[in-house]
Amino acid sequence: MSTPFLSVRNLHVDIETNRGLLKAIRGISLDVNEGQSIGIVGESGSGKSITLKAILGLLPKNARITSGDIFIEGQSLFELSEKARRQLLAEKIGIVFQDAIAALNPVLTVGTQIAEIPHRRMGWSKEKSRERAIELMTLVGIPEAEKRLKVYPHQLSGGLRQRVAIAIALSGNPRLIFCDEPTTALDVTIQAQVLRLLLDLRQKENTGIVFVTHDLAVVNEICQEVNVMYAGRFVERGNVQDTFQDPTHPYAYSLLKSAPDMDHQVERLFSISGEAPDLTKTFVGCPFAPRCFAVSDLCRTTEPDLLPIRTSLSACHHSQNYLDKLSEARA
Amino acid sequence: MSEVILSATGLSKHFVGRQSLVSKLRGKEPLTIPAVDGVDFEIHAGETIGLVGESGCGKSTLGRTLVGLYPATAGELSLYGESIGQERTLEQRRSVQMIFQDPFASLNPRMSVGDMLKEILLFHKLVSKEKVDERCKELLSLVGLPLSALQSFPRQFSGGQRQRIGIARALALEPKILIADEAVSALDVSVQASIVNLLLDLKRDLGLTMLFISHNIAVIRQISDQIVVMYLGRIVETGPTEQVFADPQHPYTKLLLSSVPKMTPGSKLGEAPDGELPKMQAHFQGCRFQSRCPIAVESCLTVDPELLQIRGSHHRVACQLVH
Ligand SMILES: Nc1ncnc2c1ncn2[C@@H]1O[C@H](COP(=O)(O)OP(=O)(O)O)[C@@H](O)[C@H]1O
Ligand SMILES: Nc1ncnc2c1ncn2[C@@H]1O[C@H](COP(=O)(O)OP(=O)(O)O)[C@@H](O)[C@H]1O
Ligand SMILES: [Mg+2]
Ligand SMILES: [Mg+2]
Repeated sequence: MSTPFLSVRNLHVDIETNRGLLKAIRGISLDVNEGQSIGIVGESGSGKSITLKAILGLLPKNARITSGDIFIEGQSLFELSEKARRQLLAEKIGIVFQDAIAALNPVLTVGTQIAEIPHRRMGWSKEKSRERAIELMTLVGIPEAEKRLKVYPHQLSGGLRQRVAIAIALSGNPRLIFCDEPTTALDVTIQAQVLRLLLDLRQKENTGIVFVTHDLAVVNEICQEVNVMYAGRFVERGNVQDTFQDPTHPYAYSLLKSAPDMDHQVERLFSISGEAPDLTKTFVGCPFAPRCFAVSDLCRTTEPDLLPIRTSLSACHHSQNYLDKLSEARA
Repeated sequence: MSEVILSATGLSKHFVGRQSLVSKLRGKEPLTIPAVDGVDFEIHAGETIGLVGESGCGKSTLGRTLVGLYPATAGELSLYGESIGQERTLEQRRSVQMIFQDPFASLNPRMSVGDMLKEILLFHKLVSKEKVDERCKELLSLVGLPLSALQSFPRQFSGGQRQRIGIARALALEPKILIADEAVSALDVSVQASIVNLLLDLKRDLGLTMLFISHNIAVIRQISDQIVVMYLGRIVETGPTEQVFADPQHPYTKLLLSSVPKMTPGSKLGEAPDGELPKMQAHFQGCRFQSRCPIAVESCLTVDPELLQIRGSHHRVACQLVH
């Protein structure tokens, strides 16, 4: 097998909080191949954003990686100098966050911002960088790109601003884009446009995508693989089609069932009682056990590892049992 | 159909924008924003109406005008057939209650949940002093909170529980209609599901009548009997939920529904036509959706379409190309 483009191995992140040390990421591994689209879903606080920030070296000051390794094309980031690491990340990975207005510089025109990486980092001439900016703006579907070079972020609608953010993310020709809830603040018709754009980019440029969201349906529409996050770990990983059809982890099942589907009206939605554990406190066993419908004594003492089952990976002692029941019920 | 509880005819709420001194001196008209611009609808007893549309289309303004937080600019509003004037009676105010996205903002942080409920119940003379504790307990169990919540303060609760407190407070007033404005929008899906279920239970057990406002179309589908689709201050389509989802008529409804990501395995996002939500204007000419409409014809630029019944049903659409 070829080396994955991005590889994360057993990553742990601790955050110093006023409530004590928070074990925000508790050992996650992830591989992203060239051109692959990967979704990370989970409820708020599960650790999605911290995961991306840890990989990108953008953790808040009070957070740090305590163990694990990150590789880009086989190169360990931790073997590089700070400067070389930053350069490699900036070159290979583009970033799009939820809040485009915060990510953009309010006093620079969008043209200047999109041309900045080609001009500064890649050493292109002003004229060539400007042409590249127009090209990128056209690629991300900003109409009248040439005219819009000179506008400021606040003069654009939310949807166009997010497109500008995507154009900037693409300006260094990254092989992979990290998207953290990039459409959460957008209206649904505009969200559809931005998602469509990301799908097209992957197809045309073979740009890989890591897409973080709390919206399962979005992952269903645009990702090949889904990772379900709970309490700082991945509890299920599988291809989107199989996982949405037959999730192997009870939390993934519960989450999928609790999400309303616009195609079907149900009598009642599935709801999950209780709350996720406080990760500043130590706990034993499976973090989902207190809320789980398939809980056993084993779950209360031993935290399960993420292990293969059918086409997926699941961190549950009872995945097999549970799948058997499911197929019985179907038969 | 059941009794009409609330009806609006030609209801409008226009905001008058701030004006610079220069434009005032030049004698310019201040900019008006027709946030709600001539809407007609009825809410029947025991029914849940889902109000959808993209941000800025006037959903919250409509909700706030219905509860009396904003005076209407024009139009008629009536409760049980009785017209509501600009000054509502205490009884009328009590009859229409609202819950919000952030219940915390509307809860007094220094008052325990029990004291808050008591105050409301006694002020409105809904129960006697002797019965008030019992009623508080009843309200808590109605919204699925433990009795220990009576002694607790708002900050001690999670987002979902706070929303339950907000609902309990609204229900304390025994409203005839509850308006929920993005009440589950800030919640995680699992918590959102439990609040949606609670509202469904209240509807079944108490016959609660509700206007449920949300930009989340999947949630609207779960909860509503009828839906109302708004676009730039107008209702563009309304009808029984199942019928509108199965067979949307207005080009905007079609666009909206097809834009929603689906949970169905294997679903693949379709084409997403370009176009942006236009800004609110003081005056619109023709159909407001015309700038984004894939089927617009020349007359759409001039003719302002009326909301008319199709096929003699309760399904109404404001598009001249549909009729
Ligand atoms: N700057 C910070 N300081 C303290 N705690 C933080 C900080 N950022 C995130 N956290 C905590 O880390 C956990 C994971 O957060 P995050 O990755 O942002 O979650 P998600 O993106 O899944 O909603 C949460 O418990 C959150 O409260
Ligand atoms: N208090 C206000 N003053 C002035 N304009 C307002 C006010 N509230 C809302 N608007 C405007 O009215 C329109 C409708 O807003 P709103 O009812 O909040 O929409 P929605 O709830 O559908 O997102 C928007 O253009 C908004 O900017
Ligand atoms: Mg996040
Ligand atoms: Mg609103």
